[in-house]
Amino acid sequence: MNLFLLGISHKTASVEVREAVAFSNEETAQILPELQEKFLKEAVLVSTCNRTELYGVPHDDSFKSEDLVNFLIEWKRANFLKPQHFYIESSFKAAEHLMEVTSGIDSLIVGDVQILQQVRDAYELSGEKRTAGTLMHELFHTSFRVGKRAKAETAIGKGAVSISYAAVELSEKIFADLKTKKAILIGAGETAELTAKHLRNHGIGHLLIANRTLERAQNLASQYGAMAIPLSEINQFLKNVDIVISSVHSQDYILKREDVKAAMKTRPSAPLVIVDIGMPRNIDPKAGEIDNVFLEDIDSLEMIANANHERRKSELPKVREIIAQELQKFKEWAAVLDVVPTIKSLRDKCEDIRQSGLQKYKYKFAPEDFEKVDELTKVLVNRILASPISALREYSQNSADHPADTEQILHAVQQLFALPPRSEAEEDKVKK
Amino acid sequence: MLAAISILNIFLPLGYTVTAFFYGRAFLKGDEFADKHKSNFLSLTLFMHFLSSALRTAEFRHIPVTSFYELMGMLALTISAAYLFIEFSTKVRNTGFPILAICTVLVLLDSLFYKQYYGVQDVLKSELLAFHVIAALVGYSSFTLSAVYGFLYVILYKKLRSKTFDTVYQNLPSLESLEKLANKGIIIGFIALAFSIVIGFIWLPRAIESFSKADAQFIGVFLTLVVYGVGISVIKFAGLRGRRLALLAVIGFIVMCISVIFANTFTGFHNFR
Repeated sequence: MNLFLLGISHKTASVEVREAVAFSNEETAQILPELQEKFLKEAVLVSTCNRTELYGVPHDDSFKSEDLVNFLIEWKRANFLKPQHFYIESSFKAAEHLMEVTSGIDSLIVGDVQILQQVRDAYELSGEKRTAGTLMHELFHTSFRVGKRAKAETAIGKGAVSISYAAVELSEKIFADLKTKKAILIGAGETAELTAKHLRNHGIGHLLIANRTLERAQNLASQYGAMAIPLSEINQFLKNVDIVISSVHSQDYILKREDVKAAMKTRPSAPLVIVDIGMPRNIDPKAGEIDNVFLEDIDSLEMIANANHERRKSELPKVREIIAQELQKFKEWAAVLDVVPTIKSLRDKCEDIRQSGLQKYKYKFAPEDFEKVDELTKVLVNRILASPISALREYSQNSADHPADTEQILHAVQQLFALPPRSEAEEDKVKK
Repeated sequence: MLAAISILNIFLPLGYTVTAFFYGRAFLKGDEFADKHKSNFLSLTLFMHFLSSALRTAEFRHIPVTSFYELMGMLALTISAAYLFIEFSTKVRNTGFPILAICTVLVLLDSLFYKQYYGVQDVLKSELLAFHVIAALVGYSSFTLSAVYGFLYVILYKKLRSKTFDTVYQNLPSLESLEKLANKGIIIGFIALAFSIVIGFIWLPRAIESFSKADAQFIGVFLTLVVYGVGISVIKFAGLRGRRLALLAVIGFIVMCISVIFANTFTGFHNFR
């Protein structure tokens, strides 16, 4: 199978190198037609923050991967890139790699669920640009199926593996429904932003953002439908919130034990979750001794994240099993695809013989009888060809792992029935 | 039919044991096979239990609630049926192990002390008695379930405080879910048992002259209701919840068990024979 993969990822290159070869949607839309014209008759380009991968079917045997690498480097003006930054796979290895990507097991964070949608977006863009053909359609749909099955049949994507997500997961272990809860984020940096995103995705009822610089809090609040408050007013809101997540840099405690105790007096049995992601710690550790206060620091969250990471890793064999099953189906499909031109050629040959015979004896039948003869010969030819065609398909499926065996059979059929030699253009037309 | 009843008498405790084992494996070890099939085992065991009760009713011409041990068996049936309902309606599937362990013990008692009582006295063929028994079963089942959820609440609370994020932590539902389930169990149990004792006080002395209001079972239930009633009032008026409610559920259950065991051991169950 003439499938080709050229890629660069977090496994082979640093972020500085990866960002040099990252393609925006606009750039992808621009380069795909050029790639199709110069190198590949089918092409799909996947570009995310952790990888850029080009899947394609070369025009012919004169294709050289070095030429493609040089073209990409020149296109992106990234002359510092070296060949070792790239990896190249071909045929079913390339197909297997794509399935590993869509299942999330090749991601920086094992079980990453976002990658499936990113690959889908890339495939849709190639569809718009008409650079995806029969092989790409089947390959990508199979890979999407792998991604869906991995998500549904295994726990590869379950459990928080990042600190900010672990904070939200911890809150959900205490509160049944975040929709009725209020949370306050102390800080407006990257961690606070990620946490706000996760909280919103999990349906938090009300969100407040407190920061020393009110403007930064307001910027973040506007992105996530939250209310911004000055850091100095936290204690006023503390008695009304259920979750506090703090991630600021401060030498002093933002919340002391007395502050938390005073808040808990107004809400004696309602739990309060406080997550301290700050370094040094933002919350007085003694606050965790108060009844119904659950104070977790970065160590707890790392324990949760690590435990989840290990659980995800233990799911790898199951995902590989799914990939093996789908890859085998893909191989069988590809094997049948290879015999389609020969089958068509055989049918065409038999039809030619039938038509030539009919024309020769046409005037020996009355018109209404001729119609019946036409129908009869059609049925006869179909019945004669049914068994060999079915056997050919079956043989190609069973020999999916040994394409050379299928080639031999096809050659024998060509010889036996004196079929014309296959040209590539004809094969492509038939396969489409 | 007697043969079928005898066979089920052996298979029922076995069914509950296997089901509790599966729930235990899933809860404590995260066993995927056990997790996938545990509810099916429970459904099958419940079906066997319903069948057993139906056969006993048909054979002995009364529902199997005329002795202490028969009641234990019926209690197991109502508890496990209520739990299966909770599982389907709330999708909380990981709290079955302690509940089914209790049911296994109850069913074992019923099977070990199974006797063939044919027919009942006419005075006991009363709809009011039926309501009394059903209300009592609902009450005891609800208190049992609330105690289990209260117990699990305390376990999760301790794990969170001690930062123990193990398999049991992963498998338990949220604290709030456990609290809600425990709370519902307490309220339903209190209402049902109060209903049961009211009917009992009204009907039984009229039906049986020799019946004494100092019956140990009545005193035990009354004491149980007082404990739960005081607890509910304190929690409601003081606005307490969470761990305190969980502890009420567990303490109330302990009082209930002690009163039932005391009543049965030292003075005997309601004796209608």
